[in-house]
Amino acid sequence: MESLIAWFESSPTHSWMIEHNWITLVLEVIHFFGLCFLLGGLLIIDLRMIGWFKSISVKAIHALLPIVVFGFVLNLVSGVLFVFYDPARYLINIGFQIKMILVFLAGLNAIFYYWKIHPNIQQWSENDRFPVFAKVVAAISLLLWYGVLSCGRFIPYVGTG
Amino acid sequence: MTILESLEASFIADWLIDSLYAYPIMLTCHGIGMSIVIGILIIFNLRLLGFFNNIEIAVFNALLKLAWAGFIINFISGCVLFTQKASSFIENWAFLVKIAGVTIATVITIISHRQLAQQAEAWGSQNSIASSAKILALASLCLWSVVIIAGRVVGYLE
Repeated sequence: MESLIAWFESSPTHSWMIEHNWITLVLEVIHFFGLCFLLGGLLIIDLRMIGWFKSISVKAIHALLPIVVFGFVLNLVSGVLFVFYDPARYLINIGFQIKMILVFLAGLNAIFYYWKIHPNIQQWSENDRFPVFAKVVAAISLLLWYGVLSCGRFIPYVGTG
Repeated sequence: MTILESLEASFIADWLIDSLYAYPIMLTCHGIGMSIVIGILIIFNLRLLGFFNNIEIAVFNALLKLAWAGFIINFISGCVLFTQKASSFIENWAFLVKIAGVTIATVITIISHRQLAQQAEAWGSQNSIASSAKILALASLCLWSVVIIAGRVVGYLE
């Protein structure tokens, strides 16, 4: 872990950010916009799969996926840069570590969605009968992402390691 | 400033200070509420401006109710968070900008929601949205953005 922290701290990105530390404010703003895109879109998509908002067609709701992906990319880039700025703060923080585990699990959940649910969505939405496991995947997605948000907010308040 | 001082001496402020995790729990609620309100409103306003056209406009009647639920979460958690630092927040210009932004954006959202409730069917059948609604949508997007930005600046001025 220490060599990883040292690697981040010796990078030109780190030195540039330390010299221009207003960048952290810009990145925080981007991270919060990304959060709204990601979770706003996911909330509607996942609740629809669970069975809310039945007047929206499942096909139409998937038009929101690009905004979710856009939010994720904004937060991935700004999040990685936070680690470059202050690796010693984040990498050993238990809130950050749990957050990264939850992001990883959410990623696996998304892969499972593309593998088992997305190919069948057209068929299931015609008679609006989603199998229980599809609803479970949607519920897990929401739980994991709200968990990610919560862990992020706890980072300044929890201990290290 | 006695009102502010009595807020800071209130049982709510005591709870935030005494309990190790009360403050971050309230911050978390405020973050989740934000993702619901602003997340849904971004999509609604973009829809009014012509994006996501295959989502029926009438559906937003239901989605906006969910957004208002998020608004209530944030109103309550925001008031609770305010008690702890009332006298410093009230002198923080970013906080004042944020509250002004929330107030105007909320009024705009109420007007947009009313327009939607009255005209969604007409907009849907004509497949076009009144330009007054589009102007409000643009203003709403700008104002909620100001709210996010000012909210981040608040912490930097403390």
